[in-house]
Amino acid sequence: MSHPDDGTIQMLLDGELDPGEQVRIEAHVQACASCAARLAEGRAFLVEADRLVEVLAVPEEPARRRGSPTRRSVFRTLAWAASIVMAVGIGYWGRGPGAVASAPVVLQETDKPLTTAATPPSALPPAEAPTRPAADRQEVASEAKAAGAVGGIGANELAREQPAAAAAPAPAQELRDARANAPAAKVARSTDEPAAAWRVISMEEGVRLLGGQIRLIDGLAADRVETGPGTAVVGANAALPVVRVVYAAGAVTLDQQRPMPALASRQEGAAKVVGGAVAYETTMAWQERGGIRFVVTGSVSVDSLRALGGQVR
Amino acid sequence: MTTDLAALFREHHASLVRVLYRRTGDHDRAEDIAQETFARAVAAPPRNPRPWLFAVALNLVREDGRKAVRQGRRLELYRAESEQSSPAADQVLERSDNVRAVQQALATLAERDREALLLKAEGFNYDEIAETLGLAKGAVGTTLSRARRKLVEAYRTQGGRHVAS
Repeated sequence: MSHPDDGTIQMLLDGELDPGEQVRIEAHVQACASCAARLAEGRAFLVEADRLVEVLAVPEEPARRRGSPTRRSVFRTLAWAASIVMAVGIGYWGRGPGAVASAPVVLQETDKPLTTAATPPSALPPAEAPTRPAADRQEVASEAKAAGAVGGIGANELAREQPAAAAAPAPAQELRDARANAPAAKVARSTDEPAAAWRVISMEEGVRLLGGQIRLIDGLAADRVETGPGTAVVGANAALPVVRVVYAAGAVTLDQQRPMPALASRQEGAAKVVGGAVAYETTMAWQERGGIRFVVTGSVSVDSLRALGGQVR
Repeated sequence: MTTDLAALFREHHASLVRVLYRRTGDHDRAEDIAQETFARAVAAPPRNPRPWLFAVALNLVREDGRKAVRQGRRLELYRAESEQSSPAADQVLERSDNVRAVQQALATLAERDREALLLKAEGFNYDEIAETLGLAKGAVGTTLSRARRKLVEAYRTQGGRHVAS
């Protein structure tokens, strides 16, 4: 047989030949001194190249990030999470109003994240051409290329410009650090809002206070549920308690009340950003949906907050 | 196919950052691009995640690289200044010199050769490399053969030591 080319020798070294061809090439190499030399040389290059690449180990995380995360690292992770939240939100909006039915609540221990049992991001429909066959290698490659070349979610922009915060499935150390540095139990959203006015309650109590229904931000794992007086939240009905679901170590909160009939009719309408009470904090207008009034506040951008508001189920 | 994002992240994030770091030599940039890649995966869940993630990430590196070229002169000036004002560079560990030598050797490879090599180091098989880089499977062996040889020779040319076993 003719001498195998370099690619075939490489395939032999990488175990990529089919069994029949492998036997044939090995037989040839055993009988051909020049090909045996090429094989040996190829193996030497392979081994050394692998070792050289191994030299480029990812640097270990600086020690400070374990105890005290840098601004950049926190923003990066939080922005990542915010991007997910926004993307998930877009996915849900794309599904139309029929898909936003009540999300069953999974109750867990207070010190563990509370999650909705709503459709996870995994079940979201692809944003582009879901029915095209996947087999065509070139198609997949071009699809990926397009995804790399076209806009997408501006996560980097978020990371650089905004102290975005939200909790998605990012298991990164920074998010845990952010949680660790958060207030122990209660979150005060502004200087007018004393933290002491808030107490942690169970999900059941929250449901009871709201008269049988509680709103959650879909796709986010809640840290805890709290309650405080209506006087503690701007725009809330002062005569009624507010139930607060806390996310991302307090970076995002969802306040809600069971509305008085007269209030509900006045407050109905689309979400509108009304401005921030504290630096880096943005509050949306109170909304009323399905018998519950709610407002989302967070140390996130206006766009992120809009996305979060759209995910309240 | 559906994609569990958390599982996707757990399974591929470290590997993706590793390839990106090896490709760019910049850990922060690698993390940023990985983040952007996963954000895009959320927006448009891929059917075949592993090649998709790495293809998108490597595209982003190239896109990012083109932007960097536009700022090249400024960066070069900055780098020169930084090196001059850093006498502690003499104390940098020998390992760092070796890392730099490998990075420089890697930079001499053609883009496709370099990426094929890095993907192989991550355990990609030929099918996956072909899919990620848009190559024919039959071309992967030749690409890897050329890449390995060139990396080693470039490393040796610049006086790099043989890496100890």
